[in-house]
Amino acid sequence: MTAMAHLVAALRNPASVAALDSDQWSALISVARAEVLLGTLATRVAEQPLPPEVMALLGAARIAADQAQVQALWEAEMCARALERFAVEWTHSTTRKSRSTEKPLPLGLRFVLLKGTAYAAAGLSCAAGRQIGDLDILVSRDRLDAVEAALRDAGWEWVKDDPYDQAYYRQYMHELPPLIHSTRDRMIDVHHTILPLTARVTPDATSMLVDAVVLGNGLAILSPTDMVIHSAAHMFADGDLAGGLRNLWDMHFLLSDFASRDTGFWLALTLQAQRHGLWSAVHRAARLAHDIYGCDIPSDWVARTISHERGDAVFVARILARDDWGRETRPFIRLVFYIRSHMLRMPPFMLAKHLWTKWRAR
Amino acid sequence: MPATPPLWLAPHADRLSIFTLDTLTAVYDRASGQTHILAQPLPEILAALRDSGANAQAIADRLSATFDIADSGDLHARIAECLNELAALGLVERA
Amino acid sequence: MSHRHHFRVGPVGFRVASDWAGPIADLKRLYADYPTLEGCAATATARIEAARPWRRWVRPAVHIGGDYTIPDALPLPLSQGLLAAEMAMNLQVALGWRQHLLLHASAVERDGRAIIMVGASGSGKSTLAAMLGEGDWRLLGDEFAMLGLDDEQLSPFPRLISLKNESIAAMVACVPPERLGPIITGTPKGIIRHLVPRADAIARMDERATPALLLFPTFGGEAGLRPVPPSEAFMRLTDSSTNYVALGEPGFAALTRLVRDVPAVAIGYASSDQGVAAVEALWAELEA
Repeated sequence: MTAMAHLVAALRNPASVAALDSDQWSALISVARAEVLLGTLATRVAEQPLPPEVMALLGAARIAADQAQVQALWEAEMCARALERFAVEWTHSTTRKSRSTEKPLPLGLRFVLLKGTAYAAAGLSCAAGRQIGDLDILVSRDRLDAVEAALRDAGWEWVKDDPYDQAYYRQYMHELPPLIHSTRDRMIDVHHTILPLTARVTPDATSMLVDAVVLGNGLAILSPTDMVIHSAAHMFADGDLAGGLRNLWDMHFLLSDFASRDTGFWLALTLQAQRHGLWSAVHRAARLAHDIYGCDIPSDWVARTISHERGDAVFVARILARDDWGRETRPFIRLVFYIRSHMLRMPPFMLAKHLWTKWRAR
Repeated sequence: MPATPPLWLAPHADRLSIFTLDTLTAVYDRASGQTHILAQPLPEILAALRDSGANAQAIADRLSATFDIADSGDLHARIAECLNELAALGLVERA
Repeated sequence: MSHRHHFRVGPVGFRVASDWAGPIADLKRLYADYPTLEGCAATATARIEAARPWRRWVRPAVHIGGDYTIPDALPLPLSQGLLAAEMAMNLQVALGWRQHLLLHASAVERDGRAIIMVGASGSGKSTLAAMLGEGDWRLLGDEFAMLGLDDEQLSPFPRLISLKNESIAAMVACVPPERLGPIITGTPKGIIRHLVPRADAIARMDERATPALLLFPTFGGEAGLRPVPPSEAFMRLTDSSTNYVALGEPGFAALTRLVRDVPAVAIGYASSDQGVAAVEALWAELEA
């Protein structure tokens, strides 16, 4: 078995690591790091008998992942304080604006946590041991200027300062150019929709903001169906599938958790995904989570056409394309995905112009 | 009509780990994972807020009661400035 | 990446892969007396490789990588292959190690007590450590000092010592040639030559030590000595650590305990001999 196969096996069935020899452990550690799943792996095998040097490494990795979550949630807290302070000043009021469910921020300054920070804030199963990077938030497009001003007022600055990149982000992408905090050195990505404006699919970001769920601590996350839809969109329609194993692990737990709480979840997910034009991506994500991680999905979701099968096989090959030293393999597939991801974001003539201008700037 | 001065709140007692180095104090904030090195009177202001929130004037009064303050002119303004610094670090919050 | 080697240095098990034979041959020779992994997993994987297959032979450019990489890092020419391998190994530790608090420092030990010499490149910490390590001291390491999170003990990490420019000649004169690596010219820091630690440092790499002195050396300029207050020591140590922030409260506790328990001194010195003498004198005073 390859190291990637061992990684999937270890996540699905932690007891399987008992059979690994030291070379296989070395390779497993490398691919887990490459897939940003070391903390997750460490959490899954925590109860298993492990060689001492592996136990020490994974124990430290778990602690590090937990610490990274503390810091990520703090970024969310500081973002909330920045926007809340701005909301108070913006409405010229000196009374305290509560972030409780009774008095939410005006829609315009509401922000919704996305991805890893959202999973951690909500205490979802996929957050266990998950390594979180930057803060991603979703805000209303017509309040982008106000949000930008509030964040810059509170100490965030632009990472990319050159005019071309600034223009590219604002005009074509689904987010502000990235901001980094001047003293804490942490990045924040402010999205106003979940796919680039130039993409062929245009999901409805406003309804996602309206349907957002406010947590006990005042922070907001997407509704369950929207969270799954966003994860699928991010996986297929947006990126080039880097980090696929981790995204599918998230998907596996999101689907399992939400389905177990609500028998109507699958139907609601189908309708909502169709509404956002992302049914194909959601269906594919569920099939792949089923294939790779054994996620329990309805039988009519498992059933697939020949075209589905061929497509799924290519996706699985891409997701598992890493050798025992952690390097990406199968470059032809990677190139196909890279071009595909850019094609999904931009019409061909714009793509050519963007790449030419960037090349010229070198 | 003048606005009510803001009420400031310090974090809960078990949120901070405080270590006096010398004239400077190292503070580890468990909520943020950040370490701060604070010069006087910032650690003293945090201590003054430990039991209950207060506005800048009340803090000035609490500190004057506990410490011998050299040059106490305009203490209130200096304390207000320090509170803004502490707020930027996330160590105090406006109520 | 058909050329490989693996070995252990202190708590870290390395596996190293390379597209070229030369750097691996150097590693095998210079790390010959180090323990193998002995059936243990590698906890750090370093790789030095060509960006494209044909770049193994055509204008070879050695890219530094492994489990952890820095994007956009410039490759090195093949003549600096051993340096690339050492940098790749350092990178894995600097970015990935979470089992100790890492300080960018050299360290030496005598009678179970250790001096930690903290400084950026050019401060002279490597040369001082190398010279002390040839005398009455055991070298613990020249690049990273590894401080235990629970018990404030230093775990030795005696990798090859990286000697630069003027400091090379002095060491070449007093060590046998088999302990010296190839002369590497044209690096951003000038001429580099690697030195294998003395046999005792390798044999005793699992014997930990108690920190007893924190030194902040500065090479060049006035000779002198200045006690460093705990707050300054604390700030300089956090600056010198690659993993302090990631460790959270255990890192804070370990570092505050260290500056509370261990005296800190800044020394300036104009020559390596002067530096060594100053350290010995300071140590004698401390132990008195």
